[in-house]
Amino acid sequence: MAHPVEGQQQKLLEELLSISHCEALPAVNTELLILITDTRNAGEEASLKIQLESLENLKHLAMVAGFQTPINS
Amino acid sequence: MGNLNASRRNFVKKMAALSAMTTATALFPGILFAETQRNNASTTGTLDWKKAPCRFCGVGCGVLIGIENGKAVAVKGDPNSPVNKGLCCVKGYHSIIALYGKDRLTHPLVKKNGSYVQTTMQEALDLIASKMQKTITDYGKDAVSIYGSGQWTIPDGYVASKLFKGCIGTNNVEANARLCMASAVTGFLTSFGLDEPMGCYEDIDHADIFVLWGNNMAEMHPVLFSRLLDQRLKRGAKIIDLTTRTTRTSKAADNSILFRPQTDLALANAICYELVKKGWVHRSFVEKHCSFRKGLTDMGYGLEDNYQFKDRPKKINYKDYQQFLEGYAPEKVTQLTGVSEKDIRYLATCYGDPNKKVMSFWCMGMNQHTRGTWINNLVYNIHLLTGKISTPGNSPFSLTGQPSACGTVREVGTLTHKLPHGVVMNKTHREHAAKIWGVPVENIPSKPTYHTVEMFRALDRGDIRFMWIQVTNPMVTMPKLKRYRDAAKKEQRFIVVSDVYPTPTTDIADVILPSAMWIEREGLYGNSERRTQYFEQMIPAPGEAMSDTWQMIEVAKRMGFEKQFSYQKETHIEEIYKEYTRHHEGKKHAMPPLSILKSQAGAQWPFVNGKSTQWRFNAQYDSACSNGEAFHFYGKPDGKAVIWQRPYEPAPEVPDKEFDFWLCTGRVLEHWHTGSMTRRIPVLHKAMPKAYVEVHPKDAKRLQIQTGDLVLLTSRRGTIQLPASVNERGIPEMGQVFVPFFDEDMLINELTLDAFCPISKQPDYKKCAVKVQKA
Repeated sequence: MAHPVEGQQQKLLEELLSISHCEALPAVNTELLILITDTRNAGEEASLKIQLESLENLKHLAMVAGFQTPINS
Repeated sequence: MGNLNASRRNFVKKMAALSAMTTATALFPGILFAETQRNNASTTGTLDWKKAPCRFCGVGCGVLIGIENGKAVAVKGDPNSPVNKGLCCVKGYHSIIALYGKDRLTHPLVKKNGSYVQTTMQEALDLIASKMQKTITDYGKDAVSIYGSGQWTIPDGYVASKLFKGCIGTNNVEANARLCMASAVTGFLTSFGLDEPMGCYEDIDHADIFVLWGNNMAEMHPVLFSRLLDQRLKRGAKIIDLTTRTTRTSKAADNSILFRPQTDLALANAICYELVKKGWVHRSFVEKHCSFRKGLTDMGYGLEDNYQFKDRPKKINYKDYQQFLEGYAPEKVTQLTGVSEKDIRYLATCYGDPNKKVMSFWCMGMNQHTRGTWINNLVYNIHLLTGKISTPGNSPFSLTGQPSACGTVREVGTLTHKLPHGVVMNKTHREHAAKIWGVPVENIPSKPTYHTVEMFRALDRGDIRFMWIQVTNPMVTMPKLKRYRDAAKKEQRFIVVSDVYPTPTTDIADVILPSAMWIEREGLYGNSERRTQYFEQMIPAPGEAMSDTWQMIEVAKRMGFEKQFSYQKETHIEEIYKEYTRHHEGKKHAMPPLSILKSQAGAQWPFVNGKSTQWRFNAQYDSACSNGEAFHFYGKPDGKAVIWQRPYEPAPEVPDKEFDFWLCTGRVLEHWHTGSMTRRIPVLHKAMPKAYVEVHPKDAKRLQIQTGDLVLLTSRRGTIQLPASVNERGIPEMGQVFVPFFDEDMLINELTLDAFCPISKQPDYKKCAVKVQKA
């Protein structure tokens, strides 16, 4: 769950959607976004983490679920 | 393989998103992701999406189920459903996972020498039919019974009623809805002569004020509650929470008013006193459309076996009623109720302001009440006195907890006194049913037998020897549980349980039948707003699991009722529904045809001239109105609704020196009722793994109890141990505790009392006395 800085939900949504491996679903009546990330390896994940941490409109990120699943055979 | 993995990965991402939404819903009641759901739909092209009503509560949300390779893999809110408009609650979003628990019952089990042995469905059905026949031969037809549920589909309930009442000839048909909405039924019948709400969910879009009577909607009906929050955001509508305990609803409400247990009776009368005193009574409406009655008082509480009560209503006039209300002036009831005079007058203002449209909502708080019928009557009184009824936005609205409590139990009539149309006591109604069922009218007994509590008492006494339990879990839900569990285990009793998972109820069964669940079979549900919804079979049932409808048809045929149950397997649901709708022909209750239900997200009865009726008793919307006036309460012979004189009376068991706390039981957001399905959904189970007892922080301090400490709760009927919850989700008042009932490992109904409303026979799970000790 991605909590935006007050009043910055739309900006944060745009920023998140511009990052590879990210999908974002905004709530329509609350300042909150669901962020779904999909990375293929630990390197990509570490890189994504750095990008997310640099977002000024992101106040707080709370992890809700994590899965490891094969990409292809 | 690559495609499969990609599909699985998409599915996992969807599940991750749903998990996050679940958590968000828990943290921010009313949060909306509807738009997202719609967008999401277009990205999942490989799935075959099919519509159904949700499996869980009585709101009746429309859901779309994504089917892939014979498996349900995704679920989303149906944007075309006028009920939920694309939104779901946490349980709905995860509903399909409940289909795939590891311990699904897939084959019949028969108890032999104390252990369960797997057998074939054919053998199990043969055994059930022969046991039922033998019981009838040995003990009479009233020794066999069926106990069903508001989760029965309409065809399930219909064949149960036809088999037991029409063919076998016993009125031993009951359903768990007796435990959850019987008082709503008797409230409707005594006030209006016809069951079920006159309004609909669209009232929410018109009302200015929502008054919630003991109804924690934020947790129990979250989708509807989000519609309330949405109206507050868009139009500034107000939400008033009347409650005995601070809940998530209280926290989200504009105003939360606490009252003492059982005193809602006095509070409602005090509001009426103020309406009269301030001149807010809609005189012309009352004169034209209402009559006044009073009934018997000091009725008792049904605590003894074979308790009987019959009300004897007497006509009174407006002056008599006005005089009665004198005893409920705010200054007289403030001490009893714990509600300040100012708040009572505020509530009266909300209802009395002619420029405000008001909806009242209630559910178990008013229905599970030893004066449940009375409190239903009293809230109707408020709406009738002000004329705020049967018009868009003015609506007293009784919510239900099960997907077809209305559709099956109330409309099909799976209660001892009911028939699909009318009651067994009425000769014309019996003749009507017998004609459609193809049975001699003499088959249908004219006297009701046992309501639910009395049915289990009869099992204990030995008056009932055979009980078939379907889609319900009474060994978790019956009050004063030990007596009824011991009853079921007695010698010379034969219990059949049809269910989808092992439960404490399957533990007492002689035969366990695996049932097809929800979309593993075809069926129909009817929700709280008179909306009937159809669902097709979307996936195969596991193993030998069979629909409850077909289980009963098979047994009926084995008992010699081939003629009455000559339905074809491929078309039986359509045949049964068509036959059922004949019972309700006419403008007052006409049912929508199946073709309509297959093509859209349900329709509301009375369905007349191709249209649903949204507001009954209002001539502008309801074609059954025939008195030439704007309103016609045609359920009553004089066409008038009844304003009832009903006093405050205390609960049967109140805290005393030894048992010094009130115990209230209820539900939580994450679990649906006894948790037999939702506890098998990992994310929900993880979010709410076990029951607890909520204690007020000051009581907790005095008793040196902290969150997580084990607490002993003791009533006159038993003791259980639970972890404490202090200052967490809900906060009871001082001298009160709250325990949810979803956890079969902490059976709170070991402690509850089997007292019930003498008119509705619905037990009160909200009030008994307990002792609280640190373990």
